[in-house]
Amino acid sequence: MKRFVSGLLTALLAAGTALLTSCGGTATASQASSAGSGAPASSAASAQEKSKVLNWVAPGEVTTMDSGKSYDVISAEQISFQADTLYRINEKNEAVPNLAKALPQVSKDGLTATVEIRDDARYSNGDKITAADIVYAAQRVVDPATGSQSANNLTYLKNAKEIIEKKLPVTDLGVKALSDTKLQFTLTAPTPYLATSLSDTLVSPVSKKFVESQGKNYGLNAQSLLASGPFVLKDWNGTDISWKYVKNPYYWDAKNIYFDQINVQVVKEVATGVNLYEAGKLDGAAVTGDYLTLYKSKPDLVTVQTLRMTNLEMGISSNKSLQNENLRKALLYAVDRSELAQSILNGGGVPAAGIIPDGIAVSPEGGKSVKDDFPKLVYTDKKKAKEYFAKALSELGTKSITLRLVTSDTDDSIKTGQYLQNAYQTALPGLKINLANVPATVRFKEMMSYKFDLALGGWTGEYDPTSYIKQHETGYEHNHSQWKSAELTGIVKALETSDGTDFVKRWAHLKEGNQYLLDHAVVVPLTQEAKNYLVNPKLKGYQTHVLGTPIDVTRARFEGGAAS
Amino acid sequence: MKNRWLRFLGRRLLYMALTLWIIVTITFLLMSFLPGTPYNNQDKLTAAQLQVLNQKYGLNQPVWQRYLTYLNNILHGDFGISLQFSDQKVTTLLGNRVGVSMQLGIQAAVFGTVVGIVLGTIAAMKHNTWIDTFCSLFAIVGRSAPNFVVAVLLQFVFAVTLGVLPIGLWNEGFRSTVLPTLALSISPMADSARFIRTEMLEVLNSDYIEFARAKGMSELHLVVFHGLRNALIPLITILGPITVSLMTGSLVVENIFAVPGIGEQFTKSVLTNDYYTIMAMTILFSALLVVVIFLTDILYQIIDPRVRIGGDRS
Repeated sequence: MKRFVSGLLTALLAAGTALLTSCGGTATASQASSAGSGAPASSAASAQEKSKVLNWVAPGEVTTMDSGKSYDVISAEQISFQADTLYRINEKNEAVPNLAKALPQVSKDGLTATVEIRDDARYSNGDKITAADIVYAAQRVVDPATGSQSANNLTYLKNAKEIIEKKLPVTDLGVKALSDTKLQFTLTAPTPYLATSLSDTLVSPVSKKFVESQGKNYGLNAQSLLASGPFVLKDWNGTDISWKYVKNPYYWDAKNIYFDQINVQVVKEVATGVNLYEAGKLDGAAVTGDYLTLYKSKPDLVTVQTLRMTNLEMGISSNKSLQNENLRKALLYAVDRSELAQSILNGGGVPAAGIIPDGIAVSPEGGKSVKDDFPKLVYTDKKKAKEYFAKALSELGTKSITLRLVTSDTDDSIKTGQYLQNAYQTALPGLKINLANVPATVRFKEMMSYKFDLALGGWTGEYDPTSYIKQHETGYEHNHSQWKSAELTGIVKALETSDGTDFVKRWAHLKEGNQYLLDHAVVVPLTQEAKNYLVNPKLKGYQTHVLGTPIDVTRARFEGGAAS
Repeated sequence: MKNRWLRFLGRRLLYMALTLWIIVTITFLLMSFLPGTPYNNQDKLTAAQLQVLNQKYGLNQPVWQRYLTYLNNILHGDFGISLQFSDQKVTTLLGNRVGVSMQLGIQAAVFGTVVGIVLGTIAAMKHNTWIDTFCSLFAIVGRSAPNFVVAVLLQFVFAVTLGVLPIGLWNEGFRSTVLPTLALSISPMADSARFIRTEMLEVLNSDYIEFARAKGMSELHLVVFHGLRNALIPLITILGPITVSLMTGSLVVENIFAVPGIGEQFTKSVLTNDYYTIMAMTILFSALLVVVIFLTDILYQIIDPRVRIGGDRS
């Protein structure tokens, strides 16, 4: 009875969560009932071992299964089941050969790279995969006719930018097939992250013959797709919330693929996902909120950091008070990021270590992470913040400052905004923060007009840490603060050109850029996003990464199981 | 008689088309004021790329031109593409999902109304007894409790605790529909019970019922054939919009039970500036509503002989 009542109460709490979710927010749920019931689905798992079927989860619908058009994590994750990539990201966030036989052979000037691909790779219809298919895939991404929202991700290739802007034909793209198995990439500038970039499904092989046979319908449903990866998509009608993958018998590495079938179910409500997981209907579930506390000591909980940095951005060009560096520094030091990450975001993020997310790259000497190797410049010091604020008030000749903080109207953004309002007003008496919770599109429009005081924004890079520094470069469109600095421009220029062949110098410049931005408090880094999952403890061999897809289960297996 | 019907039908169809056109026009104009772009990856797009994309999707044209093109397209059955779902036809997006929402909506409307009518009738017949109090209390709670609370409670009790029904998903046929239907039916059930109780009390106390009772007519016959028929008329007025609202899905209930309906699209399409999905959802809802209102008017005439086409009492 006691258990029933406690379960009922937590169910009601989950109902509150449902309301938040319905408002477009990220759910934080609390439903303890089944979480306390011990290990999930062990019987179901043992039954699955025999059938080699994985019941996996997706937190939302797939916006596209067309590898050339994907721009979001959910789609990229699903596409990676059925689209092979030249390189794969391993547990250490390094690119390792996959469809490519070895890492790219880069010329001395760093502007040309050759890649040899496997000669035994085939599509799911048995057709051979050739270097020309990679060339076609890349051309298709930058072709304005495709309308890919990720076309900019290929601007490391020569002429990509001009092709995207319709100034050159797609055939001028810096990639060509030297033979059936040999590719040559011509780069805009030396690109030290080339191999990781080529692990993106955007440059997965695409059969021109197949695409042309499908016409406008290409990629719109399971029948109009051709798999080059370990699985073949089935039963997906384009907007489904459940679909499946079956093993691709033609896949070159099929012997290392354990699962015969992977069923994917979209579950948006966290409580429902956890209930299904506990009932053995799913082998994975996304979790947030109080569930993290419930599963904290259990082997099921898996946390993966992503490349998403949440920052407090400042309209430096539009607000005179914010042009005062002491005021910006007061904002930098007054916020407690650990409290924000743990109490407000409930583990949905970790305190930011700097401008660049931890895990995106490691130092060339010693392989140290950003967090370990960069000077610790982002921290909480309320006393220091107060001193800076007092200086700012005196320099500005005022006793109080009022700033408007615009955030999106999602649950996490609203809560973060309220937290910042309270934290700043408490730590810095005389500072008033007015909150404006608006739809994401409205917030973004304000930021892109460069007319705002404070905004809860952020940046998600791809594979190149430079983009986090470049975001604040003079003249860059997404430099929302409109910060102008010749020094920073110089650092970015070096990162984008000469540093491409000197990794030590490059790391030093990344460090320098990070230090410059924090010394001038151009932006206030808050948190690095973390995603949390429950994963069946019997599932082994899956990989988690900061780069690419958060969890890769394509080569996973149940404990004791072997691929055949 | 036949001509009068044809005239009535023609006039109503014209009004319906006119109503839809006005709704389409107003929505299209309002939609053009939405800030932002329909591109989900907008924070990574350059101005030049936005221009290229706008050109591809015809969004660089003036509003009036886009409006005329859209009107022409929908008259030819082309409702455009969804930009959330990378170039999927809006008709595919809704077509894949509308059936699920409609099934749940119709089941909920039928179940909720029937049970509501029974509860309301019993409450009226047992006026001022504990049964009446119970039914009234149920109606108040049912009307006040948000459907997400009801949905989570039902899921917890029947699926998690008792394990007699699925927690969610759309893979067990009719069994998968039971809990979402129940969650959706609470509100129409409460509404119907409240309406029928009030109407029945009035009808059962009227002179003609007293007269029938005096003539020795059985209570059941009296309630079903005389009382209920009159009490149903005001209920029909509210039942149409309720049914349409249920048929077009519920974001919360569909998410909680992980069913592939269209409920979420109402908010998601607006939040993501998915222009053609917004239009299609509006047209779908409006078309269902005008058709249901039309059917309601016809139903009035069947239930109440005093109502005649065009107000003709002859």
